[in-house]
Amino acid sequence: MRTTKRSKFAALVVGFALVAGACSDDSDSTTTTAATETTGGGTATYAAEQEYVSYNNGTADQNLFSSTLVLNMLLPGSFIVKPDLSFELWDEMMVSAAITVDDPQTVEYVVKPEAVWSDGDPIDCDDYYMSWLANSGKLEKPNPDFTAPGQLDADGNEIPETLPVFNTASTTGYDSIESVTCSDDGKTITTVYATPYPDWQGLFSGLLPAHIVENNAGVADIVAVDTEATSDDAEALGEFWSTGFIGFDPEITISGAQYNIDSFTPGQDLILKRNDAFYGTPGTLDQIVFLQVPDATQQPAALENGDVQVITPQPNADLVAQVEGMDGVSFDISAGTTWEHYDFNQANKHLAKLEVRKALALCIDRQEIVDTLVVPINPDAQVLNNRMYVPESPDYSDNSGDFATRDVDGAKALLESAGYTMGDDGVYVDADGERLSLRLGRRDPNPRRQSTNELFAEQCKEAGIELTDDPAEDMNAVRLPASDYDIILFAWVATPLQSSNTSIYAPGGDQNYNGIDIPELTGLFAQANAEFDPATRADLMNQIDTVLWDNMATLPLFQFQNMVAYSDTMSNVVFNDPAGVTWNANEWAVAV
Amino acid sequence: MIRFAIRRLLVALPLLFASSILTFILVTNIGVPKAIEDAMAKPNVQQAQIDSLNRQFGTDKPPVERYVTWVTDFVKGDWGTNQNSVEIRPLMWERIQVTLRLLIAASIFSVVLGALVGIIGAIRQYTAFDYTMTFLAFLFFSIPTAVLAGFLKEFGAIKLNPWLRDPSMSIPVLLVLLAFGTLCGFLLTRNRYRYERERPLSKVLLGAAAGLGVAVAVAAVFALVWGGNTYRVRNPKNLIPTVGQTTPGFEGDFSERMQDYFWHMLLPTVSLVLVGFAGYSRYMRASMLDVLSSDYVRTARAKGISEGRVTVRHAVRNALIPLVTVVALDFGVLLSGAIITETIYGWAGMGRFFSEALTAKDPRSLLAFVMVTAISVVLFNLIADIVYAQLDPRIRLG
Repeated sequence: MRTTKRSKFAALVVGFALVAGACSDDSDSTTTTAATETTGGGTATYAAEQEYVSYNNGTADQNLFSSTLVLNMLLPGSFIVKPDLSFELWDEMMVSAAITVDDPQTVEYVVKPEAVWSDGDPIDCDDYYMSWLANSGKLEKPNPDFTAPGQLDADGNEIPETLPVFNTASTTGYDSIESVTCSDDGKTITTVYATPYPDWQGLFSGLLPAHIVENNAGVADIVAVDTEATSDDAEALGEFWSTGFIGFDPEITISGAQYNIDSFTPGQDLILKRNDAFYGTPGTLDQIVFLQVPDATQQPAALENGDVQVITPQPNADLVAQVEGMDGVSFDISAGTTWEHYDFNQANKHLAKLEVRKALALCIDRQEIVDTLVVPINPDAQVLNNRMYVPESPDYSDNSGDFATRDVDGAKALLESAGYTMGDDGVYVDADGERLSLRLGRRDPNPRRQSTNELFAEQCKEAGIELTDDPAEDMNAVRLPASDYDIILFAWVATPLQSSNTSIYAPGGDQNYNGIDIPELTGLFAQANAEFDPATRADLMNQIDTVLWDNMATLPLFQFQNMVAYSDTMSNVVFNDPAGVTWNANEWAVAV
Repeated sequence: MIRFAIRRLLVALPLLFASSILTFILVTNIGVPKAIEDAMAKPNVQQAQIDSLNRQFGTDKPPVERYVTWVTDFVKGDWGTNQNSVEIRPLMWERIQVTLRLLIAASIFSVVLGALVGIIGAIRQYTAFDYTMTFLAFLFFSIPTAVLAGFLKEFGAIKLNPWLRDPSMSIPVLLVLLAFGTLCGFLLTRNRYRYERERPLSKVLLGAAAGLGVAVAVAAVFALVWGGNTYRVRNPKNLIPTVGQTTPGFEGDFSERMQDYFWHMLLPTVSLVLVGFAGYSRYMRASMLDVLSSDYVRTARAKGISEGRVTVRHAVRNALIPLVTVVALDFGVLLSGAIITETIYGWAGMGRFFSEALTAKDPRSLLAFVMVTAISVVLFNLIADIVYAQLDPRIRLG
């Protein structure tokens, strides 16, 4: 019996591969980076979980955070959002931006004369004008699907007669503006508001190049386009604005800030290179690479291996432990702007009673929930006691009052004062003999929310309240807007725009799914939404929050945690939840 | 044969139609697209935005109308846009190319390695080699891809790269390698049956020489790769990456680009081959054992045909037939990509296309994906049947 030579060779190669793999283990040559001195230049690679899609993030269909991460270094804006959710004038481009007249609210923007797009066209009034034209949502065109009034679509919504000319994601703020006028060769922009909008600093950031839209739509001057009635020019502009910015085209996706897109390979990477035409302080790095690493659990290995230098995976206890054990890697974990809360649906017979809502807030041990679920990720995590501000914001104050700590006896006393009597099975029954049993709605699957509900149920069992987990896959998408729940666990995102809270808590608000009806709030919100003084406004918002605590409308729990981990060769990497970690990527530096 | 092919393709049409309806029903029932869900979670969302998203996904129309519109457009070549408003057809074409680049090499290696290991395992049944390979096959077959990838990344990249930066081998390690090579060679040249006691010295020497040869060859390859290789100079930090298809923005001459492809393909390919070869080697071993114990092989031996000729011409050729069927079917589903491997190693192929579409719950992408893979499976089934008939004259198409 003989074997062929070839098969011997193959087997040997296999054997060698195994040995080679095994002995690589004992390599001890850890190279130490001696120079931590940072100089200009170099490349940093960021592990992006999702990829860049569109240059126009203001559209309803292309609005993605993964694009924001790229556009932070590309699109100029009047203000930037800092990690503490405050606005700061972007002084690379702006001379000033301030309210010049209180009534009617008039804001004047002055842009530096040297501010230009990377193709040489000045950044000026036409870019502001286009922002307003596109996002004010006033221009409409006929809907081809519309046949007769009252016709319903598959979801039972009425088919609208008209469609927006500019497919904008949000008209908030821009729809309050009455006029945008240009002066001083386009470098001074004056905006006048029909109704006051104190969050005006959030507008006119991420400006798009109007001349690109003009050229591609064949419109000579966008500032001449009527903002009240739809013209052919407006439709042409709207068409390009809504669909023309998808992907990367060096002629279209130009830069007005520190970096420029050099190349985009969908599914793989996007490369930013320093914008040579930038008029301010140039970016430190030569090149910033967005390498797509879609599986967040693989990002730490990529960081350790040096494939990427910055990662921002959603942290969990295992991930934190893994990154902690790595050499040459630093990380920061911080509380973010997304916060978890329980909402009480006042359409429910029990929850309509203030005493029941208060009893729930007293029997829950929010500290234990935080200790169990969040502290393993971030030892500094704390209970959230404000619906308007997160603790990172200077305006945060603890408004929880009596509800700061758990009080089971107090909860029982409240229930008894509301006519509940203890039943045989240890659960209270109301005057009609109905058991105090409530469902805790949450989206499924979500292990963290499941644990939260389990803890809540366990804690309030002692106070004679029966809570059952109510998981559903369509909880947030269908049952929440339909107010089809007793108590629901979900998250809101805190934004610097305080007026966005109106629709959630004001009587009759679009997102007031709980049926919160406190007449006092209508006035308070109206007052706050017309107040230009930040301190007075913060007082009003905290006053609203206190009213909501007294009324126990909703119960905030904790903030989600964010993580950024980076190679020790990197400096100036700072997480920024609203704007994304790349908000200051122009300051990132790498030790060479 | 052409008539057979045409008939089979015609039968496939109603099959594809049925699968499109089934997929459509499933897709419409997985819930609203994620973009709509996310939009509703934002404070102050406007109904106009939700409406716009519904129009984009086509979910503003009743299901039957949606299906009819989709089918007519799809047949005409208009596959619509995906969750990010990107045209599906060109996107999918890109993804198919990536998947093929990764999977064709991996599949070929798996099949060749699997067949070789299976054949040797059958010829040298119950030897140390056979036992080792059986053990490894079951080990790799049962290990989850993510775990395997974790090991490969840790020991094949993170721990190996610092060493590769300045490769040197101490004498003891070299000796161990040499001893292992000799052992492998020795075991392979062992006699098949225990009663064949005599073991000529030449065989032992042959094994040792083979081991030495491989060690020298590996050293030579290393010397070649590291001796003034421009690619390595450009990528001094981590020669073996754990993610990605290419170095972002890498520009180099042909050989440098090929090396860039090679190093990026290395870990995912090894990962796929280890799992793939395990299955094929078991098929091949079983089928080879079957053939080796058949009457015609005994007859061939009795006629005095040399053992090598019996093995190659009479046994292996026939033993390959079942493997061909399996391989053809596997190539049919190749287009659906390797979902886990692509995700773990950050490759944007068809597997990623599917998992992204499913996460986004985008109806059009999911439908397009299922149709493309279904067509590919039908075609490769047909090819399997035709190849089968060519290999085995007893089978007739008609």
